[in-house]
Amino acid sequence: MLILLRKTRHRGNRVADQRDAELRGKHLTVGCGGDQRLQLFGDGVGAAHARVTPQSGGRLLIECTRGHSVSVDGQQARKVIIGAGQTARIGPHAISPLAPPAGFEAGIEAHIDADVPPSARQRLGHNLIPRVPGRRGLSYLLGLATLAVALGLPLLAVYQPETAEKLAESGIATDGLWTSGPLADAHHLPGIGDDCTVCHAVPFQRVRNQACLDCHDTTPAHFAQGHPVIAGFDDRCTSCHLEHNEPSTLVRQDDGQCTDCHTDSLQRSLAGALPVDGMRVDRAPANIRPVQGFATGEHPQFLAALVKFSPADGWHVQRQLLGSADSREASNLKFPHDLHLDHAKVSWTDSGASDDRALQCADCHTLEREGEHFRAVTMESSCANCHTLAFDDAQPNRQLPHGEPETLRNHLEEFYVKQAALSQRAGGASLKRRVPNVTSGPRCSGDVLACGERWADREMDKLFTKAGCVSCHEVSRDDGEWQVKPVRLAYDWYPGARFDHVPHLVGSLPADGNRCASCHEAGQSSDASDVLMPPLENCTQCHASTAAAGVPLQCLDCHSFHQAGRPLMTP
Amino acid sequence: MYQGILGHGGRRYAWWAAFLIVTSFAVYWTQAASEPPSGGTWQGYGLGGLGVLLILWLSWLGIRKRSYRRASGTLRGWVSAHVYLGLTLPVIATLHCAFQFGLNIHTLAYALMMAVILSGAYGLYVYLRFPNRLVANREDQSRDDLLAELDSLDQTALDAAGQCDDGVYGAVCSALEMSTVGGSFMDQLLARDRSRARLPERGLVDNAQQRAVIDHLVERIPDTSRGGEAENLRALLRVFGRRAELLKRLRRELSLELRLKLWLVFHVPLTFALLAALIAHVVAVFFYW
Repeated sequence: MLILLRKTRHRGNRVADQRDAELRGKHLTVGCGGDQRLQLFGDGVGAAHARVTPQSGGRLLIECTRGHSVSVDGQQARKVIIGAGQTARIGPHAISPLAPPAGFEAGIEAHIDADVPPSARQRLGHNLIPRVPGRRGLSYLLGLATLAVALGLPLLAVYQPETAEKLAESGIATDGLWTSGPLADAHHLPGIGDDCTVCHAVPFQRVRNQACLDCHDTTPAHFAQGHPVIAGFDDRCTSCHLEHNEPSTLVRQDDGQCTDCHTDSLQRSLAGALPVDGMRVDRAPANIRPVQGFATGEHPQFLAALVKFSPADGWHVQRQLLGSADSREASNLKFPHDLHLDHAKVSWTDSGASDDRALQCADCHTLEREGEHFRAVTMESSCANCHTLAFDDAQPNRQLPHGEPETLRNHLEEFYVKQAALSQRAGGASLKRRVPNVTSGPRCSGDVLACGERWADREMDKLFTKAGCVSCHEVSRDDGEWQVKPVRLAYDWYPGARFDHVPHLVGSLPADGNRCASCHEAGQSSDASDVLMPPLENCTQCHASTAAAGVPLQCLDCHSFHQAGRPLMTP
Repeated sequence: MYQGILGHGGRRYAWWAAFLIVTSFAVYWTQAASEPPSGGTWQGYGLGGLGVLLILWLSWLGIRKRSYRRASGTLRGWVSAHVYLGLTLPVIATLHCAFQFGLNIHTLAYALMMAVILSGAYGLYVYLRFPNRLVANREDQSRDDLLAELDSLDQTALDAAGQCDDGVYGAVCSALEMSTVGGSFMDQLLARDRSRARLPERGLVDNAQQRAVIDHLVERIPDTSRGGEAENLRALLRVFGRRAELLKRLRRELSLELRLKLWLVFHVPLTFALLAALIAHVVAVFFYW
């Protein structure tokens, strides 16, 4: 629609000027706003005051926006149709129909009061207010949305597990959003790693021991049954076992979990002492000495488990501090380590080698696969390579039975009875073999049995008093019979601790090839009763509680809280 | 005023903040030797509790600033404390969580807190810098003065244009009527000029910086024939040159005012989200204790 807009500006009662303009469109927008096709200023003129739409018959439809009106014939109206001769007043201005000249479809005349100055404030007013987006709605929306996701979804998993499961199938996380850190690898098991309530069984209550014991039901406790300390000890699993931490440790690595109690001297319960290699512990210091860490002065001297024997009690164990007067081994063996390690006195030639060499620890001591203990040294595996049990020069392959003292006499008697019989058959000829304590060739001219028994007695005396059994064993003579005292080597010197030899076999190899001697002073030991376990000070040369003081060593690096053989942990 | 926020009370709250940070580090380091640092140690709970109290108190500023009759310190003091103590939260919260982050609501709360603090830091920046820029932009002229000058220029333009032919009059009127300031949110933010003008034979054209109408007037000067018309056109040129400058300043002022308040659109809603996440965080920690 082509509309003629005539602007007639009035100053008082006279026309100041008049201008025509063409408009294309269906209507004319009127107001003081900058976006209005007809801008009018002054009191009572809104930013977008009204819309004027030409109607048939030259009339004008005037529709005011909310809050505005026009005055027609003294009547205020928001929506009105005016015809020829009528005017609609907008503030100091007026609008009236105009008969359209040829070529135009409609005409509108605006009577503008030219005395009303242009007002930038009116024109721009509503645009001079910063359009800051509302905060209230956004605040409520964000707050509620966060609550729904962070609180609502996880709670669904607890109170509506079926719904949560369906959401999880759709890839929507529920109580997994609450996890404060990854689970330890060991707990990534179906039914545990994907279900928080397995451990967190009761809301707002700390994880109970029962949750752990549902799986770890064979875990031993720390104390003997009835130990007086138990009553005051907080033995919650989570005191030491921490989940959801980064890095995942699962077990507390600090000394505090031990020194919280052991920083003071504690009474030892001898009755509750665990057996050592199946042997009863019948003696130990009355108190566990205080521990503050791993350093000289902070950690007590090591408490060795010494194997002892008494006819009444058999084999048993006594715990003695290293270096104390009573810390002597009693294996009933004789073995001078210094002699065996002295190349000038004892040497060994390896198969295919041209030169001999000194014995080394590993020639006799074989480390177990677990790296801590050594296989038991036996006559057959270690000693027999040098020390044969031959007793007859003429028959060097004839060996005495080892480890069977009750058959030794029979063995010798059978041998010498035969020798006596052979002597008689030869007409009392001298035997080729020298009979013990007989300087000239022995002859048996009488009862063969008596000769054999006598010669066997002489051999027995020699073996148990001069050379033979007595060379390595403690012996006794009970009721006229020679006895080898029972032998038992210590296997586990420190049953309450663990030690891995392998990572300690470091550093340059000594000239004698005996790396072990850097800790075990075997080269200076002439007596088998010497305890060759290194003392605390040997360890603290390298180790300390803190990295600043040395290679850090925590209590749990050597000791275990859960001790096999103790009663099981309780819920 | 703006410097006063930071310098209030001899930077009293800066010292408070420094004390809180040093104390937090001291507390944090006590757990380093015992067990892996985390929010679950007593030090972690302590730092977390401190963080929650701080967040609640900092959020309270939104209420306190609307209470003009409160006797509990000046609003400037509250804002100063809000700024300094708010800036301690990244330290306290990071030590609380012991640098442990993950895809969970706990890290969500941390991220929201950091977003709130970053938006607040930007708010502090605009509070410190924009008033000076606003003053410089006004060139010792208040907004009322500026609008009054615009009105005067418009009246002068209409009077001068009334002495010119219909083409000039129509161009001038349309340029006056269709000069815009602001507009949409983005127009205000970027101080865009979407002014237009209706020129003879060219119709509706872009009139940014009043350039189109000025060019049109310049083109008309050589064609003047009526006496005094050239002088009217030159007067119109002076008017539109000045209008362009005033409108540009008005747009820039509007943009600065908008940006002065816009950060709150992030700061406040994010604070609500943070409070919600904080509730969920605390509930979650103790629900699955």
